[in-house]
Parts: sequence; C-alpha cells; structure tokens
Amino acid sequence: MKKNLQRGILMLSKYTFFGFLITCYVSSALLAEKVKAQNVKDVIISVAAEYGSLVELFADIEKNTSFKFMYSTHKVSLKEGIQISKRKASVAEILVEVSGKTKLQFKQINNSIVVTERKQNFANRLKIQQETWGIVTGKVIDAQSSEPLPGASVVVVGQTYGAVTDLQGEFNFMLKTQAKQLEIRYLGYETKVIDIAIPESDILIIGEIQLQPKSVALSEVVTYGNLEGQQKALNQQKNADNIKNIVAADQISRFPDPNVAEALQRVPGVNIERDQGEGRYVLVRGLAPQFTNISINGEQIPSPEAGVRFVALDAIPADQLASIEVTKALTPDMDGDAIGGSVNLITRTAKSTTPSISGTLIGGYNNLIEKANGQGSLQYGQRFGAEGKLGLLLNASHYYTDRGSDNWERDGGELELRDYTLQRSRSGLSGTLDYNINANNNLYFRGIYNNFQDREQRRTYLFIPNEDDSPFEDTEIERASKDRWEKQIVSSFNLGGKHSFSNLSLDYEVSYSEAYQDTPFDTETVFLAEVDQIGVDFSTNPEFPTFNVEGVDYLDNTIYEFDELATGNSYALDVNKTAKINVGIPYRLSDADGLLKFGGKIRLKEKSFSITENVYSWEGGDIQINGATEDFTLNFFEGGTLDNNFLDGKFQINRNVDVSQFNTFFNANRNGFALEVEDKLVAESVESYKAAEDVYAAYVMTKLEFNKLMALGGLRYETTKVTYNSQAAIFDVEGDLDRIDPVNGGVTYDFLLPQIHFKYQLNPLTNIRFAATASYSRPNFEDIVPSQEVELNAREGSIGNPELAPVTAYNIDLMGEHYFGTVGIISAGLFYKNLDNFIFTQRYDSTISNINVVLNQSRNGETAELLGFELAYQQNMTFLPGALKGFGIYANYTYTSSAANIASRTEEFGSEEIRLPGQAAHVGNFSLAYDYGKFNIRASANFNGEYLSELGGDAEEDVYVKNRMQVDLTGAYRFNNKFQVFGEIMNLTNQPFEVYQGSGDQYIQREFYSWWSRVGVKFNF
Amino acid sequence: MKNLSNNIFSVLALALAFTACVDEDFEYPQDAESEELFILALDADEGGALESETDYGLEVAFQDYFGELPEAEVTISFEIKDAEGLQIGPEDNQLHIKEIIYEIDDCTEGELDFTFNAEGTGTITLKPDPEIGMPEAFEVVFSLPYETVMDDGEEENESLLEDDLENEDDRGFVFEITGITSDEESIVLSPVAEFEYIVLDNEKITAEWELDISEEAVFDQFKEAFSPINADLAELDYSEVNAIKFEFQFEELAIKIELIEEEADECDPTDFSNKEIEIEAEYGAEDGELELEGSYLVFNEGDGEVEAELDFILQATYEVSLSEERLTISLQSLEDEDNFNEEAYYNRENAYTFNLNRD
Repeated sequence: MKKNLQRGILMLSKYTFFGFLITCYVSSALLAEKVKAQNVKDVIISVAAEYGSLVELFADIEKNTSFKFMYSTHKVSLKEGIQISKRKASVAEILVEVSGKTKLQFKQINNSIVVTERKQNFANRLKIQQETWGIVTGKVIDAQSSEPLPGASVVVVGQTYGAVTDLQGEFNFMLKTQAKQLEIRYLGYETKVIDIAIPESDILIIGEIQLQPKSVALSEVVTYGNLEGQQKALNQQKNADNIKNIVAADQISRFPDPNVAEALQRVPGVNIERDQGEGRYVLVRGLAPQFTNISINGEQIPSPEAGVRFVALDAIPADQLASIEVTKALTPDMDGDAIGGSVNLITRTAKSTTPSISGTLIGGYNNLIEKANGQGSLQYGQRFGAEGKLGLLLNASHYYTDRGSDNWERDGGELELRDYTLQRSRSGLSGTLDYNINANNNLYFRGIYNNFQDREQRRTYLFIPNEDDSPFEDTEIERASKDRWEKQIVSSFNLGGKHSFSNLSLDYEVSYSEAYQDTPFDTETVFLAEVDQIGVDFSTNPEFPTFNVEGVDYLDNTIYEFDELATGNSYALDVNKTAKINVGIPYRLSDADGLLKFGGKIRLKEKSFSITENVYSWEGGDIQINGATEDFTLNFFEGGTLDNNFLDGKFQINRNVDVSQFNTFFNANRNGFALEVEDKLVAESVESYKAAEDVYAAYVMTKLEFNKLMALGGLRYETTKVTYNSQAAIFDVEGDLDRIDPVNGGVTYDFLLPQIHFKYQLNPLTNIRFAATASYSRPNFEDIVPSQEVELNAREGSIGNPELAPVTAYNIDLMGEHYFGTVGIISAGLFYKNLDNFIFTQRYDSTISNINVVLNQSRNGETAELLGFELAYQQNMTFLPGALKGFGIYANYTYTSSAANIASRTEEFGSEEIRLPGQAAHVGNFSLAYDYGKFNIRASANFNGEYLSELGGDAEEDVYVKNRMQVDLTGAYRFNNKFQVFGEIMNLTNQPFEVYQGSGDQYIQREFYSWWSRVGVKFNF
Repeated sequence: MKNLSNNIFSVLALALAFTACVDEDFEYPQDAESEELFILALDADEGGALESETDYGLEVAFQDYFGELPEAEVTISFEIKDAEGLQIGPEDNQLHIKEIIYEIDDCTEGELDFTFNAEGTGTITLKPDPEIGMPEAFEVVFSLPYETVMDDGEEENESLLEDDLENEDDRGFVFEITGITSDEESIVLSPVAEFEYIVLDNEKITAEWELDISEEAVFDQFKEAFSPINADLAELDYSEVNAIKFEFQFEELAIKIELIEEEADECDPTDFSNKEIEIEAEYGAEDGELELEGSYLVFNEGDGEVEAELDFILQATYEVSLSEERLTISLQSLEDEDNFNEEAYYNRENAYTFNLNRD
C-alpha cells in the first residue's frame, strides 16, 4: 500500500514536473513575446516617404518595432506601392493613413497587427460594426476571500450579449466600442455595474472585479460562508447552455459522502448501486450504469473492471474534487456515448497568490464490525509570481475503514448465511499546475491518481436441503471461506491549453488515463458436511427464514470435510489515450451574438483481461496435522473473527477457515492436492481477452444569443473501430474439453448525432430550457468479445456477439428553473428517451458441429422508452423571521417510467414488455439543515426506489432490488474561519440492502450494515 | 517556492505514511504454473481380482498437469508387504512383480526396468521413451501365485489361490511406493502411496456368472429390466445375442451382452471376437442386498448424439447357492436422476428375477 502511494507520489511529481517544463517551453516559444504588448498608438517610428509595396512598409515597421503583421496573401493584396505623408508618427497614425489610401483595415491583438480587407458589399453594416468592435477581458472574484467566481454572468448593459466566467472566474468577449457599462451578476452576491471604455480593435483588460456577498448583509444567523462553493456551482448551472447539475466541493462535504458515487446520489435524477453499503455505480435518469459516461476534467476515464465500461466510483475519494457536473443533455462538443448522462469530475486549481493549506483529520467507528475508521486529507494551493500567473495545487487524501455486513441469501430452496468483514482504503493524489500567460492564454497540466484497495473476507454457511428427496442428491451444509484482496487504480493526466484571440478561441488537450484492477490474492476454501435432513422455512417469516438440521450439530466444525480450494488472481487493464482540439469563432448575425465552434477528437483505447484460476481437490487421504493422522476437517483450520451477534442474533454461526492458515497447509502438502486442469484451461482461455477501440470524432456547432433566447445546435460525428482477440472452448459430446480455438472479431460503426438546445431567460434568475439530442451507448466489452463456451453434451453455451450494435437514443428535455437571490433553486423538468437496439440476453437455437444447441448471447432488441420528470428545490430560509432563518432545505425527486420490448421469454414467437433494468420509478433526497451561529446540523434522507436488477427466464424469475432509504445525520461547529469540528452518523435506521424475486415478499437477499460514524476536524490556513 | 513545494510534499507523504492501510499479511498459495508439481499417484488405494486370476495390473500415473512433463529419470522405490494367504518371492507360486509396462500407442507397450528381491522390495526406473517421451502412466503387473498345467496339450497357468472353499480369512497383500528420487524436484509422490490387494472369493457373489437365455422370454425380461439404462440394449433382438454374463469384480459389476456378430481386434485384424454391449456399475453387496450405481448416456432423438449422462441406482436382492453354483438376483427398483421415487422405471417387489450360473 505504502509502496503504491509512494509510486503514486513519484508518478504525480514526475508528470507534474514534465508538465511544468512543457508549460514553460510552450509558453516561452509561442507566447512569451505577447505578454507585454504595446499599443500601436504609443509607438513612434520613422518611415520612408515612399514604398514600392505595402510589404516593404510592413517590413520596415516590423524591423523598428516589436509588432508583427499577420495577413493572408490570398485575401489581401500588398503589391501596390504607397506614399506616406508623415515621416515620423505613431504606428497607429501610419496605419490609419494606409487604411485611408487602400482597402485594408488593421486590428491590433497584443503584438500582432492583423491585416484584412474591408468588406464592400452585403456586409456594409457589418463593416461598420467590425470597425468599432473591441475585446474586454477580466476576472470576477469574491471581495472578501479573493477567490474567483466561476459561472458569473457578465453582460453589456442595454444589450443581451456577454459572457460567463470560466472555472478561474475569467471572461473575455467581443463587444461594441460604444458599450459603456458591464453588469456582473452572481447568485448570492450583489449585482455590480462597472463603466468601461473599449478601445477600437483593441483589448480592454479590466482586471479583477470584486463582488460583495449578500450574506454579509443578512442577520447574524448566517455567519459563515460555507455556501460559497455551491453558489459558484449554481451560477455555473444557471448560465450553462445545456441542462446540467453542478455540485461543488462544499456541497459534497456537507453530506457524509466519502466517495464520488455517494456524493452523486444527492443529485436530482441520480441513483446508485451499492457494494457493502458503500455507493459504487451511478445510474442517471433510470438507466443502467453503462449508459452514463464518467470523465475526469472533461475526458472519459477507463474502467478498471474487466468486461465493462462503467467506472466504480467508490475508487475515487470525494474530497479530491472541486466539483461534479452531471450533464443530462449533450452538446455536440461532448462525447456522444452517454444516453443517461455524462458525469464530469473536476479537480481543483490554485486560486490565490496567498498560500492555502487546508485539510481534514477524521476518526470513526463502525457499529457492526466494532472497529474504527479514519480519514485524512491535505491540500496546498498557491499562485506564484507578481500577477499570480503560475498556479500549483496539490491534494492528497486517504481513507481507511473496517466494514462488514451480515447477509442471508436464497437460491431456490437453499439458504446461505454470509458474514463479511472488509478492510478498505481509498487514497487520492491530485495536482494541477497551470500558467496564465496572460488574461487570454492559459496552459495547464492536471493529474489525478486514485488507489482503492479492498480486502474482503467472506464466511458462509450454505444449507442445501434435498428438496425432492432425490436419491441422487445429498443433503449438505457447505462452509466456504473467502479471502480476497483487490486493488483498483485509476489515474488520469491532462495537458492542454486555452487561448482567446479577438476572432477565435482555441483549446486543445492531450490526455492519458489508465485504470486497472489487480486482484493478486483471491482464495476460497470449501468444506462440506452431509447431514440427514435440512428444513428451511422461507414463508413464515420472509424477512428472516428459519432452518433446522437433523442428525448433527451444524455448529460442530469437526463434521465438515474438505471439498475444494479455489485460488487465483486476475488483472484487468484499460488505457485511454486522447487528443482533442476545439476552435470557437465569435460572429454577429443581425442583432444576435453568435459563436461558431468546431473541433475533433481521437481516443485510442486498449483493454485486456487475464485471469489465473486454480481449483484443487484433495487426493491425499487422511492428513498429518498437529503430529497426528486426522480426517481432513474444518476444525483444524478455523480462525479469524467470529460474529456472535450475526444478523442481530437471529442465527448462530461458528468460526470458519482462516484462509492464510489453510494456505500454509496447502503449501506444505501440495502433493496431496489435485489440480482441475481442464477447468483451469477453460476458465483462463475463455475469460481472458484483448481488445482495442479507436474512436474518431468531429463536430460543428453554433450558438446564437438573441434578446432572451439562446439557441445552440450542431452535429457530431463519431466513428468507432473495435477489434478483439479471445478464445473459445469447445466441449465434445461427452462433456470433455475438445479444443480451445482462437477467435478474433471486430466491428466498425458510425454515428451522426444532431443536438439542439434552447434556453429562454424569463428574467435574470429564471430559465426555460429545451433540448432535443441524439446519443448512443456502446455495448460492454464482456458482451461483444467473441469468446464462447459451448458444452455440446449439455447442448447449451454462451457466446459473445462482436456484431452487437450500440444502443441509440433520441432524447427530449424540457426544464424550468428559478434561482433564488441567495443560494437556492427550484426546478422542474420533463424528459423522454427513445432507445433503439436495446441490448438484452437472448436464448436461441443454433447448430454447432451438426448438434443443436441453445445459446445465450447478448443481442440487440427492439425499442425502449423512458419518460420521467424531476423536481429540485434548494433554499436557505433567510426570508423567515428570527431564528427560523437558519433553516435550509435541499430536496429533489425524480419519477421515471420505462417500457422495453424484448423477445418473449415464454412464447416461441412474439415479444414482451419489461422495465428497463436499473430503472427506479422513484428516486429522491430530502435534507433539512439548520445553521445557528457557529453551529450547523443536517439530517439527510436518500431514497432509491426499487428497480429491476436481473432478467430471469420469465417474469416470475426477475430479480429486483427493493427500495431503500438511508438516513444520515451530520453536525458541525465552527470555531473560526480556520477550524471546524464535525460529526456524522450514517445509516441511522440500519436500512438493509434487499433483493426479491417475482413478488415483493419473496426475498432472496437481505444484507445489513448497521450504522457507522465519523468525527473530525477541518482546518484551513 | 522550491522549498515550499518540498515541504508540502513531505507533509503529504508523512501524513499518508501514518494512515492505516489494508492488511497485506497474506499467506499466498504456491503458484500452480511457476511452481507446478508433477504428482505420481496410485490409481486406487485398494483393489482386487477373482481368485482365479494369475496376474493383476495396478496403474501408477501422473495426476493431470498442464505444463510439459519433465524429461527426467525417476527412481521409484517400492515394497510389497503384509502378505496374507500367499508368499512373496520370485517363484511362480509366489507373489512378485511380473513386469512394468506403459502404453506407447493403443496397440504397443513399452517396458520399464525394475528390480525386485525376495524381501519384496525393489525399484522401478521411470524414464523417457524415445517415441513418446516421459510416459504419463505405467502399470505394475503383479504375478499372483500359479502353477503351469497342461490342458488339451497346451500349457496353461492356473491360480493357486483358487479353491472351492468359502474363505473366512482375508487373502491379499499391500504394495507401497516408499519413495522416489529424481534430479527433477518438481516430480513428487502423492501422500497416498499404499495399495491393498484383496483376493476375491469365488464362492461369494464375486465371480463370473452367465444368464441362461436359452428361452427368449428370459432375454425379453432382461431387456425390459435394463434397457432404460442402455440404449443399445433397447435396440437388440434376441436373435442377435449369444450370451449375457455378469462379472462381479472388486466393487464393480460388468454386465456383458455378447453378440453373435464378431469384430476384429483393433490391434490384430486377424483376431476376431464377439462384439459386446456392456453395462457397468459400482456395486455393494451385503446380507443379500445388492445395490448398483452407475451412469448411462442419453442420446438425442434428432441427431443421435449424446445428450446427457445420467446417474442410475438399481436395487436388488440376491442369493448365492454354492451347491448349485447359482446366483439368483431379484431386481426391486431402477431410478435415474430424472426418474426417481414415484417416477422410477420400476419399483416393486421382485420386479424381475434372474437366475445365473457360475461361468
């Protein structure tokens, strides 16, 4: 673990250093001369009276000044000679004279003088406008903290056009020189109007614009600015062109959510799948995890898991992030493979020249496992140089927890008791190095490294009754003990730049991201006891079934004899290499302010999975242990923890095998263990694969801002080329492995995705939005890799489908949102999705080697529809009298309904309608907070409605995850602006994870976690 | 700035170093591939043959492996001990090792060098064959006590263990591999290295019996009783059958249906013998109760290929008449995995009764 962290630190340091070098090189090579541009009016030069051509004149000026002329020889003619009346004058005066004697016009951009030809015909009106346009640039900051305010609205007074500040609080846009005032709006801050004077064809650098928070003027109830981050988020959300939710770091920290998945569960329309009580996968708007793409700093990250694309977000600590964006309607400049939505995790950037060191130190307790947990984080950020051009931010965090769960599961008539103990650590390192060459040029390097480790020990009792009283079946109790250590490493590095010129903006980025899941240790032992009779009663108390065992004492470990040892390891790797470029060209169309944007992207993905799987039986007869010859029974290897209060004392269990102790015996007695060679060959060849996926994308889009209406539309083209290498295992008619064949496959598909968005501003705080978008979702790798496992004697098998087409969708969104003057929002939205080529598993008849077999294969189905609405409300009740001002509400609710058509599971022909797997009808959050003086308390409830988890052979066999509501409580006390203590209790009501099959009272799994808690201190220097 | 950055890195590294991590104190199992073992093991830990047999083969084989078997010479030490009812020694009338053979192909055998002394100990030298490399298995052929007699002018070996008595005392011996030595450390011996040989008494059920099918009705009864677990039998006509024999060996029964049709030997095309259909099962026989357990293949009606392999259980009673040299078997029930309890093929008292004569 420590080695990994050290490796991570070293890697981060290395990349940061290289990034810094590249930054310096690029900046000095390309832009260093422009840093201190002189005005053409201020530079006085002497010129000759006559020049044979304009080229000679420009060369003379360039020779005597630092200015460079930029022009296209295809568009302007510089061959004609010219006489200059003023021999000694400013460059501006000379150029004005040249302009009067020719058809040329000049525009100064830093040290460049752009030469263009004046338009004569249809654009006479534009000519006038162009001649009187300039650029304004600046930065909006908080007057108290000096922190930048992203998402601030900057508008020309009396006009409708303007800009929205970026993540650094910076803005720049073209405007008429006649503009005299700018209005700057920001939720939670006083609106500010400033006077401006735009020089013609030049840049006005305003510098920092300070906004005063409104909360200062409020009563003493709200005394500390813990809403700053969310204010920024809501401002960005309000001013965004498309429908998105933004959650800021402070909003994340207000809930007891240690990982990104859990932070996302608070977002409207998002629900999560959990593992051992902790959030792991994200489902947006009722669509399964593979329909949502996950990005870090705008670029998709690969999945560390084999076979799938979606990312387990419990690998990423929430405190590494500055904010999370959940985009629900795509724009053409975004990846098109996100039907549900696109989640972008944004890491932090240094804000101020004042060094900032902040961190947390947290300790906690898990009631079920009765052990402590801990978390620590440190962040350092500072901008360097007189103008703060160089920014450095480093963030490190580490989280450790001992967890566990008590669980029972049902499979037919079998009952299994599962006792889990887990150790989990979650470490994150992130860094951002950015360099603001000037107000319009920024270079950055960002890196993030996440290391998630999970050691899981699972001890089970499996009661297997002989339900049919078959003489061929045994009545058995199986005792398994599993010990597994898994590491998920997700890292991402982005190097890029953003540049704004007078007539275009440019951003570009190259990135490398890598994710792998390494499971170096995975061992399970199984012991068996044959008993006379087992009776299991699932019906009397469906929540806690009862059982009885006749003939033996099932708690006696001497009755369990060794059955098998399964041990192995696996390694899944997923690498993305990406390069992209975006170009924006502002333009005017009538009275509308327009932006034409186009760009391209290449993403090269390599994904592979390898596995080692060894299963051993015992062929050695009695064992020699403790100096005696004994039966090979469980009691000689028992160890580890024993839960004397399993499922709240409803079941008694005994100590199980200590796997490491067993492995010691295995290593000393290997000659008695027989390896199941055929099983090994089949598993390792069929499950392993290598795949490559190359994606090329290009788009063009335009945005027009009319009076109160913003319209954005465009097209995105994406082509994907996929190739696979895998193997297929073929068994002969007697069930023996016949051969393993290499199987290669590949597919190429293209998409043209039109997107259109409208935003109508009813007033500065109220928007109506509409979007019609097209998107798609690529199949999971495990479905398309052409591996196959066909057992001819059983006449069945599974087979990959390399021809599986992606799911396509068109999406309609309508949303109304109103932002409160203080921090808050109320919004309501309708959404509709129509999916085509929906993927499901189909059983079908086929013929292999002239033998009829039934194959399971993922196939494209018919259409699916999803309709829903979402409501969100967030407000601080500062309008209430007295102490009631301290209340705040955060609530959201999403309803979805879906219908998918698949081939009938019970009839030979026809189709049937099902709910989309993963789609929960009801999802919501309610959180009530109260701020009083330095004290803050919050109760939060998160509701995940039931959803279809797995399709069975028919509707009666469909598996559903039951609805779950988790209640958490947090409280904090702030001593001053530097120190805050807080406490959290999670899952107060011990809500279980419940799964049922067919009808709601037929539970097949109930897993309990009890409550866990944390107390800690946050500091900020 | 450099110092400041260094300090920050130091703080971060220090903070992380002191935080708790996942316990990595595992005992890893040895790797099956990089540390693969090639385990020599006996085919069984006990076995036997009818007292009329004059030799017996015990297979010693490498357990399943996935790498390349090392081409190394292995010396295997053994001991024959605990002889009861027979003597160990090099003579014909004594128990000794007759030969050590291995299969080169279906029709060709090779021999391994071995030593054997009168005390019952010896060694076997296992080494690569020029054609097939290291043999995956070999057979230790024991020579059981016999004498050579003349029968119809030809020499024939007759077992000295065969008698007309129902022997009360056990007869047999134990063969143990006492160790192996080789330059190749990956070749090891299974901990189960002892094999107990038991002489089967012909005066019990353990013998070869023949069903008298001179009457077609007897054959029809047999066919009806056993055809559920043998598709070939179900297709047979009385006129095609030459004989039906029940061979009760060590815990295994082979019911051989000898056809009139002959076939050439696979390895010697000039040697013809009757075709056979065989039903095999493990059996337990005690106090007149007989239970057979085995499996049979189910064939697909459409393509005729194997569709499934189902276990079956056949329960019966039996009685051995020493004086008449007759075995009477009464079948009680026949069940398989898909047809049991109420769905059994038959389940009634004395559903089928067969009289068999000692062969």
